[in-house]
Amino acid sequence: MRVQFQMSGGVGFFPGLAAPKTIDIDALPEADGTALKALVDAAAFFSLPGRVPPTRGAADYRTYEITIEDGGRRHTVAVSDPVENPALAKLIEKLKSWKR
Amino acid sequence: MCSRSHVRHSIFCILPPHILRSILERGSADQRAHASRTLALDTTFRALRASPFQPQPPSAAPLSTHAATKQRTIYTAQNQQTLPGVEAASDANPPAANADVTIREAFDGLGDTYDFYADLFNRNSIDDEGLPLDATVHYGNNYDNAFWNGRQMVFGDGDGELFNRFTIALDVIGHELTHGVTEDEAGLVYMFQAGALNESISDVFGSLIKQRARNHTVAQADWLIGEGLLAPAVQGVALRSMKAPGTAYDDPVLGKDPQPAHMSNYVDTFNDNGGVHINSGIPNKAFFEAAMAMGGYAWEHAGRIWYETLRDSALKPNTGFKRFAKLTASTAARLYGTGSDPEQIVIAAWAKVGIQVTAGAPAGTPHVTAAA
Repeated sequence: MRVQFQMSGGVGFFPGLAAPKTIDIDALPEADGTALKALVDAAAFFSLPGRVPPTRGAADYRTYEITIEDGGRRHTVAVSDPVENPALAKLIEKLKSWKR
Repeated sequence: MCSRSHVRHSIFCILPPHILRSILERGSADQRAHASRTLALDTTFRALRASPFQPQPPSAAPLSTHAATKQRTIYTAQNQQTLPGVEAASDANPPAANADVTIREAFDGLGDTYDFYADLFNRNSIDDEGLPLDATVHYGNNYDNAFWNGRQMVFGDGDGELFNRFTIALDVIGHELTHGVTEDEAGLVYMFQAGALNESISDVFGSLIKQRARNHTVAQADWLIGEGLLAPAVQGVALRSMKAPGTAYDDPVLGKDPQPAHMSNYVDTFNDNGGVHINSGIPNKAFFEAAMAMGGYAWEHAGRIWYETLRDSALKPNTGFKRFAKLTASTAARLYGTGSDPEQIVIAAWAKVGIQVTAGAPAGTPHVTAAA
């Protein structure tokens, strides 16, 4: 399973924070991989709507784009703050803090 | 003042262009509703013409009528992501002097912002209809951002490594609330040049709100956005610099401040909604140049010109830099007279960032035709 994560927007644009991250879960230590997979499963990632437009009139929100490939499946989800799905919010929080 | 039923969408960063164009066509019709208000400003213009172009001291006390309509409520999300969260303070229940500093800063910042618009522009809250001002603090876990969700402000605590708490900077509070003003007055689409103008207007008024709270002249002002927000280990001074765009930070983790200060360095990108926080450096610098040349307090003349431009019905949702520049020049001519120093200063300020504007009214002068 391969995860791509990119964060954009916010009150400023920071080139260093906007760079995409790619995580190859199969290459991770087993405990880390299992924990991340659990978050993906808990969010029912492959059943989530693909793109949720931000609320009209909003500004400075962050947009998170996640693409996950698993076997023959590939799905992209793009959501903006506030992320109202708690399971998805947990996955995003994990990916945000993931060290490159 | 503005109908809330506008078919205006300022955020469509992920929609394809043909859908965006169709939305723009529908949205532009709403702007006609703004025209009738322009005449109401006439008395303001006359008063300005009567006064010499000299900086004047700020008004010492807010108008009492405004105090009665200031309705602030601060909520805490308690580190969750549910909005608005639990009420923590309000005008009926103001925070004590020893209350949570984040709650106090949000409460005071909303007050400074409300007072700025009320005292200087006789504007009753962000919609000019007394909209209650809501803010949520302690949003999320180490959340590194502040945003306007279309209805209220939201502040994260920062992670302490890159960012401090987002209520620390009054200009950021003013910036977020000004997004509400811009949405109400102009609905500038949050993409490309219109989005960069939307951002710049928030920076301009965010900075002015801070300058007024500190009683700073143009020479005393720091012209930084978000000073104090970057954590101590970060190599930088603020989120952005209006006086020297592109110099606010240069850090191994955050990268280098990407803002241009001149059209020759305009950044074509699809990142950041088409560079809304990047290319805003150009109109930011133009405002800075205009304010410095006018002297005194920036809100008195340059700020007024930008505010009246924001209210101009000719400011369409898809306005670009050049049209906005022309509108500021024509607004200066309208407020101070054709050929006046302020008009010339505004034209020269835009020229310094590579945008050439000629004197005289721009195409379409809706403030004249609005008489019907």
